[in-house]
Amino acid sequence: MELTIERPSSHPKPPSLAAHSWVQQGIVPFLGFGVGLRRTHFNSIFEHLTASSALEGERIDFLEVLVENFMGFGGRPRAVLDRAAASWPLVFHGVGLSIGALEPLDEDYLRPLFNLIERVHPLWFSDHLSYSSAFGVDYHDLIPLPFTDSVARHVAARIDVLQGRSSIPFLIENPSYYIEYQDSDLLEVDFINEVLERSGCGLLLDINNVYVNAQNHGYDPYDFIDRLRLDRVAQLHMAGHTPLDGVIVDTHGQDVPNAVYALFAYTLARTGPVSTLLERDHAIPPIETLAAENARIRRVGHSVLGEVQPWKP
Amino acid sequence: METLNRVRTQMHQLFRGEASVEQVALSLGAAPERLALYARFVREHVRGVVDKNYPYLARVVGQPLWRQWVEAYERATPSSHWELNSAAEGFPEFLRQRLIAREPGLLAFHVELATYEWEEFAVYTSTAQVPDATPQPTLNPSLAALSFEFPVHSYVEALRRSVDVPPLPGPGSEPHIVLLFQHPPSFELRHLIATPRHLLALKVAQEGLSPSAVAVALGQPMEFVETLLSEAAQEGFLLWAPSKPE
Repeated sequence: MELTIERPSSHPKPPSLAAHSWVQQGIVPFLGFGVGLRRTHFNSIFEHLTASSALEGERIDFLEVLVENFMGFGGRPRAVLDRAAASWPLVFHGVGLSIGALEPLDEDYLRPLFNLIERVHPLWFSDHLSYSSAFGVDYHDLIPLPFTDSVARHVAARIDVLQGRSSIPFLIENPSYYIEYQDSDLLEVDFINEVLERSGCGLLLDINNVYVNAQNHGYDPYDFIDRLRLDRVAQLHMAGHTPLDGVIVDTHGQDVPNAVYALFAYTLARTGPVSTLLERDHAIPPIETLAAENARIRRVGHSVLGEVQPWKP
Repeated sequence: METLNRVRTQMHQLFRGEASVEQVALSLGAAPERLALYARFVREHVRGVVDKNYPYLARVVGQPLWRQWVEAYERATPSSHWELNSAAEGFPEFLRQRLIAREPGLLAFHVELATYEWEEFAVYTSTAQVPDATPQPTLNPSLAALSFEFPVHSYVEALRRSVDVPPLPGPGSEPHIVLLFQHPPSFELRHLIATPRHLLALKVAQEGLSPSAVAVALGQPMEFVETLLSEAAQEGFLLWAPSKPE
């Protein structure tokens, strides 16, 4: 059962935030409204590119590439990625970096990642504030970190190393999490802020994850947004979720619910223009359906921001 | 890092089945039902990717035998690579070992079918670079030539066409070679059952033989060898774009 969370979406925008944001400073551009590049759309997304020229409202402004679906692969996946790079601005997103792990950064992961960055020149890359491997085992899931000052310092130091080796900006994403550890002595939002402060990296703010975490851990998502370092937000994620065994799970398998749209509008009023991506990883609909939902996100975005034009290469 | 180390150790023990949900919940002060959710997610990622990569074998075997094999594989084979599909790579070898150990219900055909299904994925994602110009007959670098004791390819084709599971090939089936490759320039996955003509074209390319020498050796006109190679290039498992005479 989801709690009802209400907050007027017409709160006045704090005057100082947007002016100092990464987008306003030109560290990252505003790319508009995009979707993920998925195998099921390998043909249809290019057909949509042509069709949507006559259907301006349903255009896709940029693509997010889930790097694990392309790193180390040749053949059709690589050919499609090369073609996509020639057609849209790209950003990279990963789930396997394991930035919170205690083991050294995985060179077998970084090598193909950096090779792919050099090949198709995405504007930034991102991964989650969590760990996904330990003791030589890959869990293929985002395992939450304890929210402590020492863990924040540990993660920030690893991000520093990563940024030192990368030619493009790195963003950390707030993940969904379903457990809390008794050893955590920071609030989630303060933990994220600490990592941002110490590492200097950007933030991929997943609006659905804020909503899901607020529901599962009983906090106010609007307070979370108010307290977050919004000046570092370089990208937003929008997605849907599913109730499962007494929790709400960030499944990316449904349409974006209205409550997440409301939180999105509230956030956007405080960040100014930020590239926004619709995530869909399960029950992936045809590209036309995805583009229609992307258009809804754009309309909400324009209702907050006015008709801001995305950056074009 | 004591806190993080304790968390990862406890969580690892949970995921590997070395500690119970209740033990880990008590140690980390976390809700047991939510810890159980993570244990389930981690298990299901590997089981799900085995399901995804071996859909035909799953159909042929049927539940619950399939679930039994997949769960045994997942317990025995921790994923050790960031690429999720690689967690399914060891499944044919796992079955082969179980066949040697006389696993009830497991047949040699099942192992061959699993091998075929994995090779389809491996060839589809092969990073082999197809050269631009190929004045000499050259093997498509993505090509895998797989020898099977059973007619696996024909069986998979029959499965693809039907909602029912066809009868399994019996003993005494004809061994055959299947060619799997990315078809240039679309990179679509192609399959062929190798014929003697295909094998001859492969031999010419692999051994770098000149078409004229092959024609002489076979006692055939040059046109015969050129047609053979042209057909192979058209199929896509061999690359050949002979320069035209001035």
